[in-house]
Amino acid sequence: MDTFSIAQLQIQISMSRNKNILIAILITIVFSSCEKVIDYNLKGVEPAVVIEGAVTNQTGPYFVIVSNSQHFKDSNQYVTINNATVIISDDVGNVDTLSLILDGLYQTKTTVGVEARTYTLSVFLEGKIYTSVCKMPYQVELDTLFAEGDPTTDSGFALTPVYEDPAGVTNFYRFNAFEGSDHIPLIRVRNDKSTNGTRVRQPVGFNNYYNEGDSATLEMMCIDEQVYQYLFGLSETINTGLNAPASPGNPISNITGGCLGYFSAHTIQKKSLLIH
Amino acid sequence: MRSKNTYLWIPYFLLTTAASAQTQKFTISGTITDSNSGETLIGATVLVKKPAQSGATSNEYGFYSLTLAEGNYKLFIQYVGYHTDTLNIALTQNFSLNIKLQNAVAELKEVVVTSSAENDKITRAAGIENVSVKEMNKIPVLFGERDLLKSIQLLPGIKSTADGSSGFSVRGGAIDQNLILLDEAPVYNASHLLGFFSTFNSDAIKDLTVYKGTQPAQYGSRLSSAIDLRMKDGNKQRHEVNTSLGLITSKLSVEGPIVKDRGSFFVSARRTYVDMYLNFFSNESIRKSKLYFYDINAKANYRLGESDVLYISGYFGRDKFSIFNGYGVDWGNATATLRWNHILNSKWFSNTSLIFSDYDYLSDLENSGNGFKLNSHIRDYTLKQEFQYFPSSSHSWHFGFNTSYHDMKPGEVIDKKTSDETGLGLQNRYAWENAIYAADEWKAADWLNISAGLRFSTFSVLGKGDFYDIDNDRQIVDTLSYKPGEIAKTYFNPEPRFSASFIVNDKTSIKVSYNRNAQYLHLISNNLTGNPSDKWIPSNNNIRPETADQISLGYFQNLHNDGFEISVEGYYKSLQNQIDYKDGADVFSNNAIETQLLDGIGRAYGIEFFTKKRSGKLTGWVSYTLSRTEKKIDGINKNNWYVARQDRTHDISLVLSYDVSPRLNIASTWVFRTGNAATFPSGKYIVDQQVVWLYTERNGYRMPNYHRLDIGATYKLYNRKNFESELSLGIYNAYGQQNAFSFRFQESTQHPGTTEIVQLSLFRWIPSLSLNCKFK
Repeated sequence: MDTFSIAQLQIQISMSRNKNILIAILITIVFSSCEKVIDYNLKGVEPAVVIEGAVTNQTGPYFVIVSNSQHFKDSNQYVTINNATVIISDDVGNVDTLSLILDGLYQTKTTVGVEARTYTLSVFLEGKIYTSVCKMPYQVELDTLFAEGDPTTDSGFALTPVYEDPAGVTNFYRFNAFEGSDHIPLIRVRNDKSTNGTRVRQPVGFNNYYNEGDSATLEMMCIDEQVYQYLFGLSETINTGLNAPASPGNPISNITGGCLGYFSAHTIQKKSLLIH
Repeated sequence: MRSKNTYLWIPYFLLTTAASAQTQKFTISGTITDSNSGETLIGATVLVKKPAQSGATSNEYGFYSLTLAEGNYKLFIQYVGYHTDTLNIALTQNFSLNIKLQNAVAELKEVVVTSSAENDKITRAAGIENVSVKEMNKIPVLFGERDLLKSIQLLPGIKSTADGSSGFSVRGGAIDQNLILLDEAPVYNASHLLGFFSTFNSDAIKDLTVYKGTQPAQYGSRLSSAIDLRMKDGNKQRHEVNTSLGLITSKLSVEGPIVKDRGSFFVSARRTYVDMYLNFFSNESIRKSKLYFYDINAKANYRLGESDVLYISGYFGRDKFSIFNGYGVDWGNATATLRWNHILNSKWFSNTSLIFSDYDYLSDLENSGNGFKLNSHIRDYTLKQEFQYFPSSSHSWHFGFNTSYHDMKPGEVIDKKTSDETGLGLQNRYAWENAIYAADEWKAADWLNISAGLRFSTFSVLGKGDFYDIDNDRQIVDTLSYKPGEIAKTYFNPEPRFSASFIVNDKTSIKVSYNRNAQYLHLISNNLTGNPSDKWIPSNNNIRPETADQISLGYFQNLHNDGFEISVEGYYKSLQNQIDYKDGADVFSNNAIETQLLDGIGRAYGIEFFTKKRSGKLTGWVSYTLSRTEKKIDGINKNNWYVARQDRTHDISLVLSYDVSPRLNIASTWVFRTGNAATFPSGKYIVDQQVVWLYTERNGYRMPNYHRLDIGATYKLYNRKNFESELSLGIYNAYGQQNAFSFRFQESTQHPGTTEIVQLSLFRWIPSLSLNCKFK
């Protein structure tokens, strides 16, 4: 995302928490509001197929999860699908039929993830075909990683990756962060609209999760445009409550055939540090 | 298209002026004012009953002009809440007659609600609500804050959009389709404190008229309504001070003559001190937060000579909200109007106005020394000229033009370390909006009143700026740069306005109307309540102006010696070029916002029932609106019609006021409405180890039904020559109904591994108390 979007997002993130605080202030002042869990009758929906898969430039194997969506009232578990045929092929002639190793989890046997190679995912299930084509981008080197914080304020530490964005190419990035061994459940994606061809040094926005003494790990992934659009839409969909968009929608999957989820071929690099 | 309308116009003009008789006609004209304060009265009538019913109505500045054949007449001058004045005149030449009416409000029950007032409702055009500020002041409201914009939501066809919010929808329109004018200046964000209070201090307002899509040709720029607020001029005879001390806000107004009988001023100020209560909290974050608003209304007028009056009025309001070490918003409206009334002769009245309006907001993240501030504004500079011509007692012509320059800054990013503009924000937008209009109110016959007009509006979007060519997939194919002042695109829209009232008898009428309205500025909002970060964007080469065609048919009846009024009015509105965000839109987009928008059509239809009891100890009204608003936009909801967010099937308001004694009045309000349409998940799935909601149709669900009872009482403590005071008590949401403000879908903390819906409801049993004093 460009700097303007980051500024807006900074404010929006803070606003979603702080608008809640404002409401809390108003309501506390007038000591008369409440929150309660309610039972609202949500209409059911035909279970939709959900496919999630990725090929990376790290050594394999790679995985694809095939599952079904569920009713709101069900407990949050994968409703797994074990009778799908999952095939990953590339543009140099390799074809790999994945094998089911666990409920809903399919593993590659021979696929090798290489930059600039185009991968095709095909899933055959109950007479339907779901396909996706994704080209793995070239890796952009993650030069350094550092964490900057202001110990006088309560605002955590800003984990900041530094890299050189290539000019002449449109790049999209995704960042995954870990605090210790815990994955931070936030989706962070970026484009290079305002940073194309420059040395990028911008914090990724997981500030509140890091305190002095924590061990932080950042994964930087180079993703393609469709995956970027999907993940951006996905992060909006997860955001609900007072600051929810009034017209939420399902993120646009890059898998054709009418299913949910996405398929990505991307590069990963990891760096860790200790916060002090 | 233009020429076709011109041709139609000429025969109409000939037809209506052909009936001039041979006898000599003379004109009486002048200004109608309150005998006590000198305040001009808007919409007062001067009636003549014999030999034939004839009359004139005073305009927005109290000016009237009545042309009659030579002879002797008895004039009846009437206005709601005032004693009718009768005058015998011998009309042998043109002369000027200024009339002072005596206020009758002090003698509550004895007020004979004059036949003219009801006649007004029977005879005038369709879809208009003329609101009595005094009547609205009796209605109990949230926090005891008399709020005109919330009170009008109790009238048929006007609906609030969210609990507490000042945003409203008129006849199914979106919240940005209402033109809110304060002494002719447009107010872009008519709410304080995120929508819980309105921008208007009712103490400063003299008159409020709401046109529900049926606005005459003088009004344009917004599709669904025009809300015309006129500020008080100020007492021309003596000084008066009014104060109001409440739990949350306090107000002070001062008015008085500048030169007795020639000029006066009015100033009122209001501030909330909700932030004072924050000091009682132990949580530092809450304690050090800032939360307040204030506003000031000021007006002055001066009569330069027999025929000239100069007015200057202004409004300045500011809201500040910031969480200690967190997010902060600072926004406000400022308006200024300079007006010159000139009476050219007994039949011609002119008003020239210079208007400035500014709405700006700043959002900031306080905890970091680095980072950014976002600044945005919308500024209008307008020149308006209107002529009113009263050729005879059956015609009132209004014609004029207005020209506005819009300067819009959707979002400028300022680097906090250097306070410099970074140039990273959205581009500024400039536009030039013009209109020319002519309208006539024609008493075609005893049984027929016609209001017909044509407004012709244009809109040009200008450089300096970049404009984009986009393809069918809404991807940018080309960028065109324009120099400052260069015109990128111009739109024209003819907007005919028509209304006819068929007066069946003096107690009954049937009204029809047809209006076409065009709107060139659009509010892109991401939620229902309206947020300071909503963006106003102008039409451009890709975003076409919105237009609406509305027809209405209504039946009006006075009963029981005019003590009761009932009406039924139905409407149908067809809207074009309606925009909405596409699914999963990137709201914080780049300059080409049109790549995130889709457009289509809309329709709104409904029927409004209204009954009002006007006289006696117990007065009040019931209003019920049954309606539907839908949109159809390709790319949303599988290209099917879907219900708009502001759709509300049933909307009922019951307002009662009871004068227990001359000192004590009790009032209550009960409202019931169907919940707003909303998009909720119908299911869920897991991606990236997180639960993701699965949405099916847009706006396929409803929030739960909303209902609430408010009760208030006003007790007059002192009523002396120089001092009056009263105490107002109230309770909002008297039976504590937990009305849903929002739903939050989340993973349950109580039962991990499941998801739940949490309802947030706001105000239950909110008491209010205020002491109002008047020093004369």
